[in-house]
Amino acid sequence: MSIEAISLMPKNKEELVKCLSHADERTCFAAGCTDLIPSQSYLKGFSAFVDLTHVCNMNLIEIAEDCLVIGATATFADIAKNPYVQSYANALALAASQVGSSQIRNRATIGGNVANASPAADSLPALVSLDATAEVLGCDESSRMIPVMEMIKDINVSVLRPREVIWAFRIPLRPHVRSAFVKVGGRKRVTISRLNLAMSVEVTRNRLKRARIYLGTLGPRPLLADKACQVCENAVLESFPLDLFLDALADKVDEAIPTRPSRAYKRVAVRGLGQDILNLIASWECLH
Amino acid sequence: MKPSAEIVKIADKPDLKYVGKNVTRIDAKEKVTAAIKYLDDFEMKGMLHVKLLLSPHANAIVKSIDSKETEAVPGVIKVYTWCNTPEIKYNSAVFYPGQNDLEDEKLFTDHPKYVGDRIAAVVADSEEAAEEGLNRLKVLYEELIPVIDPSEAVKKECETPSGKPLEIHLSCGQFEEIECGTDGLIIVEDEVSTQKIHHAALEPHSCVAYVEPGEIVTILSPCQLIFGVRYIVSKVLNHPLSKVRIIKAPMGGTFGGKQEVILEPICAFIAKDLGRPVKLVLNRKETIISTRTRAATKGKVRTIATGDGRFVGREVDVLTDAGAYMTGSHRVTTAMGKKLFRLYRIPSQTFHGTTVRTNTTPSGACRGYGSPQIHTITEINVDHLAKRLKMDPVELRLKNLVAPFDDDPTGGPSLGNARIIECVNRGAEAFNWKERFSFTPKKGRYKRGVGMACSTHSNGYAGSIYPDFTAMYMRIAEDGSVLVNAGLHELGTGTLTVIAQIVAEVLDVDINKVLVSEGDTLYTPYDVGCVASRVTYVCGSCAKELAEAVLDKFKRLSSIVLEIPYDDLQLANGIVASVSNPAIKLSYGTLIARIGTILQEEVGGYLSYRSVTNPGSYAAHFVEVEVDTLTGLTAITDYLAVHDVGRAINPRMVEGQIYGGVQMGIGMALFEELAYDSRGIPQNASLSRYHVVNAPEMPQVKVMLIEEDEPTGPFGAKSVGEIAAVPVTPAIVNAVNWAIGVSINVLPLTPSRIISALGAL
Repeated sequence: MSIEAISLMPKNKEELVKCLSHADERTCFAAGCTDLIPSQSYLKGFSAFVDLTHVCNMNLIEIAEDCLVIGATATFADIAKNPYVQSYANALALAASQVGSSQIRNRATIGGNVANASPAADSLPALVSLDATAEVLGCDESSRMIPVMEMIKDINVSVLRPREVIWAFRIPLRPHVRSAFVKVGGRKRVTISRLNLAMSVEVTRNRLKRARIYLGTLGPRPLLADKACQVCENAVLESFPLDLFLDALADKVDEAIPTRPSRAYKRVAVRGLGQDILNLIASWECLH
Repeated sequence: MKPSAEIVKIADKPDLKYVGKNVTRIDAKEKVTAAIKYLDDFEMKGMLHVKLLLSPHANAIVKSIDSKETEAVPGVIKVYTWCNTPEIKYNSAVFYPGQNDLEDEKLFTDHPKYVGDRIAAVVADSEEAAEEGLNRLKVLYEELIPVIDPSEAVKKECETPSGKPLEIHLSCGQFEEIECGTDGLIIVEDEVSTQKIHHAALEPHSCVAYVEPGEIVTILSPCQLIFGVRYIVSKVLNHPLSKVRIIKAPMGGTFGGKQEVILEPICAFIAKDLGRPVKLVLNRKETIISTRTRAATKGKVRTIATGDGRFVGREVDVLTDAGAYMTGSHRVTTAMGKKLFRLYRIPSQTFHGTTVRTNTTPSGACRGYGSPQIHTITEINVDHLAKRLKMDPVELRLKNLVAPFDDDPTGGPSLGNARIIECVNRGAEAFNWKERFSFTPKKGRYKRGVGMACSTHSNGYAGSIYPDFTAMYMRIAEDGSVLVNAGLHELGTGTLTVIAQIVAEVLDVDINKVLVSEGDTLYTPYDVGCVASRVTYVCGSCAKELAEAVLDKFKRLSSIVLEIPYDDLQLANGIVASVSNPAIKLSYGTLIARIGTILQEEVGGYLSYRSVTNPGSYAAHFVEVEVDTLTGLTAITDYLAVHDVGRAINPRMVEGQIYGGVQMGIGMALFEELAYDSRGIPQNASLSRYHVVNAPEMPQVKVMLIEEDEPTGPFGAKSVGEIAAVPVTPAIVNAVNWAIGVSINVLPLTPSRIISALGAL
């Protein structure tokens, strides 16, 4: 932050809207700052810094009508341990529990993770697999609803405009939905995903329907593993065609990154992730 | 040196009060309560701040630097480049006159040879202004093609007479005359690559310099060799040694990264030029790319053995990547060679080491000084031989390991009381090795396997071309407290506590009354430095011998003052007493004061101590791994470290050293690699991209100490600081190779390398 930059700390939505209305392209809206500080971009001269962590109700996690609503400044630690998230959006709870370190999870927020639009972001495939929508707040107090998949324009570029912030995420509550998230990095914990995988699926009498399976890190946005979804459609857990499922995931990796040096590794690793995520889906009742 | 009949095992001495005890570190409270001020927290009135311009190119010519805009930034005082600083070349590892390592480094360069090379410095009255000034420097580069691969560099350097790679040959026996194939000899060859590694000390590199009255250039540095820093600064500044004062600053870790002289000459020059205090603190990225690394190596090993597993001969060829400057890298190569002759009895062996420069971050000292590299190269080869012979790797090693008091076949110092066989035997039993080891991988996605490795390391420099002496003053004050005035460096390893334990033991005083200093070249006597695993063994011996002399003097002077025969006096628990007359009891302090008053003499002494030998420390590590054959992730599921330490002066601190060593070794085996792309750009210059081993990866490390007393060590003690990091990597690599039935020999064993090796089966 340049020395002359002003710092603002809005306390509620109204004050935040006022900040938005005065914002320009050099205004920085941030909460956990866990991406901002290591990047040292704060040294490059913001005109104003708006601290979102004190905005009332912006970090709420609640059930509202037919949605699970997660405030943009909810931290990953909050999300990982929240019983609603664990029950209705377990993929997100699992993703949140594996972001960075304990210290990072206590600071980093889900809104920041999405706005930062990293291809390796753990929350993105989880949110997309859960059909989540972002509620984006504008400077005139209006909101626009954007499916999370469409929030990402390119690598590290979101569709947010200068006078906008993410206010919350809405995840529809669907009956019988199970979801899970798995990742692999350079080490077990405190690691950036080399590959991650999120899945949500409706399970009735052990039969799978309407699977939504997304791979992360293979492009700017989570990638729909369409053939793997097809393999799941109407499959029964007891006689699940595991090899077909894993082959479909590996094929998706081949298709997504045909020339990347990491393809050889990721097409094998995705089979491990595929096994792990199915185990989580199949053992859902034990876990919940 | 052969064992002496007079050796009394320490364990037989029941009356030791401090040696062998878990004395709490004497600096614990200051560190835990943050009372210690590291240099980044250090402020002086009028202090200026320095930021370095580091090259963004791995090989380039600086065509021009325009500093007009920089100099216009409010607060910027001056810009330094190669144009207005000394041109004197130096080698950052040289610490004493007569050492003739290649001098190829300057304060600043117009021909940067790696990403991170120093081109300029901006000095300002605040960090922000220095940073802003740095951003406004306009530099025009002409990029040249970099050489990243050391094998390629050998060819390139050979083309220029001035840049020839350095070479070293060591041998014993007649390797060339071994006739193979005629009498059932087995030959096993391997090529192993080890990687560049960042030391990852918590505290980045930092330095403060100022000028004191009398033109004394004073430097505060968290370094490992204050007198080595003094030597280089004196040379570069052309300033007398007596007027260069180096004070050892509190240190937040080094692991060899702060052994060589890097920031000190720059800060000293600027402080002298401007007449104001200056501070230079690198950030993490700067520390990773611009300081020093563990040297990458490429090793070829050819071992010849009989069908029943006796080593007949071995040929080892190692290429060391020095990085952009020669630094101490060729010393590392030489040190690697020397270790080869001190672990196994091999009648004929040759070592050929080559050190070559590349356009990457300079290499240098890193915990083990070549030992982790050379043992990784050779211990992987030993397991390969075991596989060929279908022989248990433990059994194979036991047939060939050195025995206590073996000679070094190259004429080096005796191995001393080398207890590696005991390490292996006791470790194998405790680890249940025989039941757990398997030649064939198990079935399933997650495969478990065990591996082990042996290693040796030094106890100082004795037997090498480098000086290995130290000196201390020791005085007992009028209140009975003891001052040990020594050029020591507390690196976080507990040096000051160990010396205090030794002194308190000999003088039989409360350890809380013993103050041990760190180094200050103006006031403390000479010490080579905290290097080469020498401090407990060499400095500890000096402290012990000096304390014994001071005790003797104290007793003699007490005898005169009290008019009691010398032999009738007993000095214990801080009390001087007469054996024959229990009524006579005086505290040390009272008697010191009386000696001062009556005899007008200080009770103390000075000792310049020279280390005469250099026994080996030994270790055998046993590990169980579990490899996920789909994701390639490896977990350490069991770990036993067995160490021949002679005698643990402070067992808890020894264990701490071993835990830390294992942590570093796991990193070398599985995670850590400072990688460069083809243009020489570091690929992971941050701790989010450069993975060290964190808590979730750390296994419960079991430690077993073999304490059989080294006769030449203080109270029987030998080194542990470096060797703790040595056998870890080969033990893990061997375990992974056995677990999944592969022969990976390129480090680290990343998930992708493991998956690739499995795919090749």
